[in-house]
Amino acid sequence: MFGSWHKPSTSSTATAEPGAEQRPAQPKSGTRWPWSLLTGLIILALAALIPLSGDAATLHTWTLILMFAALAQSWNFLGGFTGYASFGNVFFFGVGAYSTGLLILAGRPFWLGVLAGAVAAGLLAFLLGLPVLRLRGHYFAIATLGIAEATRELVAIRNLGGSGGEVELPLPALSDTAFYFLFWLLALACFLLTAYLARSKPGYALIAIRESEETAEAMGIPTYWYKIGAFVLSAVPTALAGGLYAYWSTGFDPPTVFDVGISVEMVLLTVLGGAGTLLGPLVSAILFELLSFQFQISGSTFHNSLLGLTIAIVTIFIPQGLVGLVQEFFRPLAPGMSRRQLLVEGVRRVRRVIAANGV
Amino acid sequence: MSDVLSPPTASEPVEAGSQQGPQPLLELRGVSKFFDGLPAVKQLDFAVRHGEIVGIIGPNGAGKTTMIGLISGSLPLSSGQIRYRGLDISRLPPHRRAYLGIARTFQVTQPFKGLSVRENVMIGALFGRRGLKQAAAREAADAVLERVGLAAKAHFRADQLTVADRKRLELARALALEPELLLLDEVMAGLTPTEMEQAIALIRAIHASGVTVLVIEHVMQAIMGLSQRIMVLHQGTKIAEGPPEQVLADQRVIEAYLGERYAREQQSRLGAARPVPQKEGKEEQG
Repeated sequence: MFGSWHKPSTSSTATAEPGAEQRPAQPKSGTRWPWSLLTGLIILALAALIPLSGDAATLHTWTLILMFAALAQSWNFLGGFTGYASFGNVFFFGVGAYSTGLLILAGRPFWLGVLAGAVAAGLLAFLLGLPVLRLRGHYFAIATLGIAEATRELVAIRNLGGSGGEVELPLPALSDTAFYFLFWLLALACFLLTAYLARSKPGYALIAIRESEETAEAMGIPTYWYKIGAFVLSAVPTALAGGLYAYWSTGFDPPTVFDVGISVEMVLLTVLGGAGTLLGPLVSAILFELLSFQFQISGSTFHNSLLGLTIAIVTIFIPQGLVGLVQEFFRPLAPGMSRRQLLVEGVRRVRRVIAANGV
Repeated sequence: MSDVLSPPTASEPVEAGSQQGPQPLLELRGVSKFFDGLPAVKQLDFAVRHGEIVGIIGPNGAGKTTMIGLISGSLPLSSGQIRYRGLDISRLPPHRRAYLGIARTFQVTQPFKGLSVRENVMIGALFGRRGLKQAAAREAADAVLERVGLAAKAHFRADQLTVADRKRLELARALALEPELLLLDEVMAGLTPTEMEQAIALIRAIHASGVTVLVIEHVMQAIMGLSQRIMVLHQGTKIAEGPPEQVLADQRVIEAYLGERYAREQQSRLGAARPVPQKEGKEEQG
């Protein structure tokens, strides 16, 4: 239909296998879920140890990693679960940033600004969702992109905050470690919300929309309202991240907080990790952001090209995402297989997936 | 999810011009559907009584699938009115019609491919008018799968099924909604004779359990044996309606739908009706 994120994420690859025999499917809420949940919680627990390193640069890097983990996971609520790819989610990030910035400038506490931004983003997502979620596929993507771009221009022209929309904030009263844990909490909350969605009734509705919206409607699912709900769910944490970012960075302007690059990054990280999966966005946010920082630190003049190349390679070889590939590796086949057999079978299967993707 | 629709009021008057006697379960009044100005269904009047099993036949492009789309709500009406249990449902979205008890299958099967067979069926019990909790919905799904003979494949992913099993899954999904009116869009196309017999027996059993059934089918043998009444669509218009034998004998039907070839066959045939050779390719929307 629309792109790789439109695919039924985790297990769609197996269809491409030549001569695939009938075999057990991976139930959405099967045995895999507890393991994914556990893995994610361990990753986040380990991430909580980062401040112990005492290194300011590392802390800075990981603060951004957790921010992108939260952003990608938020995007996943709509884009991954229902397959409706928004290319304008940065709009909510900007709304969060400006709500926070302007309220701080008005002498209000920062948490009030962050909360106000979240509420505003939720309301806006609802109001914007009413028209744009009547659109399908590409049209939805274009509409969201347009909204974000138009808002960036508007904020600059109206000189919101300062000239050209620039906002300068006083130094925050919070330590860098405190900021780190706020982003950490946000990433954790998004992860737990994804885990809930992955096996709840609303989650089934969203997945059904992705798999076939017409059938979903015929089965009694009010698809329109579920999509709007997912859009709101996607907007609120994004705005929270924007608000925290605003206070943390002590200053921003429209090109920064309405940067289309942030929207693209949310899409990329989710798709690279595995759209609609529990672990995908979290894992790929960590891997790819770390990689990106490594490329930058290396001082190479073409670090962006290297990153782009990596992304292109991953997309071409494993369009179902990293997590999809890992799950294919661990997919239980026959009971009573030895470890060695499992390993051999897993490697064979992964090679087959890559081959089936036409490379 | 709350039950959005209140039950139809008993006091709803049966309007003048509608059928005599008990109110029909489903009623189409002057229903038309245009695609880009081209009529797919024209001024169609049609009613189904509670407990009936009605067949709809017609050549490719006659508007049969469009009609199912109009009744289930996936296509908006161009004009006319559709009433269900005396209630005007013309403008209700498909999911509301599902709550009311209207379930359909798709001619081109559209399962939730990445989900298991059980999950596919379970979704109907979760979100349909039963609105069950997950554990109960899973049990309900298993019961339905047992009924259609898919229990052994409950764990399979939907896109791993054979054609016959996909048709079964379509039926199972619809049944999970506990429908009052079941719209079957060519569930027997592509089946072997044995599978077809099983399907016919299954549809009979569903009908016997109190479900009103509307069957679209190309396979004449199947629909003649199944239906109490048959309606013939041709170029979006109803050209005949009545008991199977009467409709089969109708000269307009023979000409319009069955063609001269069938007329010849009918003269020379020795007994039971035989399948009419059908054209390749799926039925178009219009």
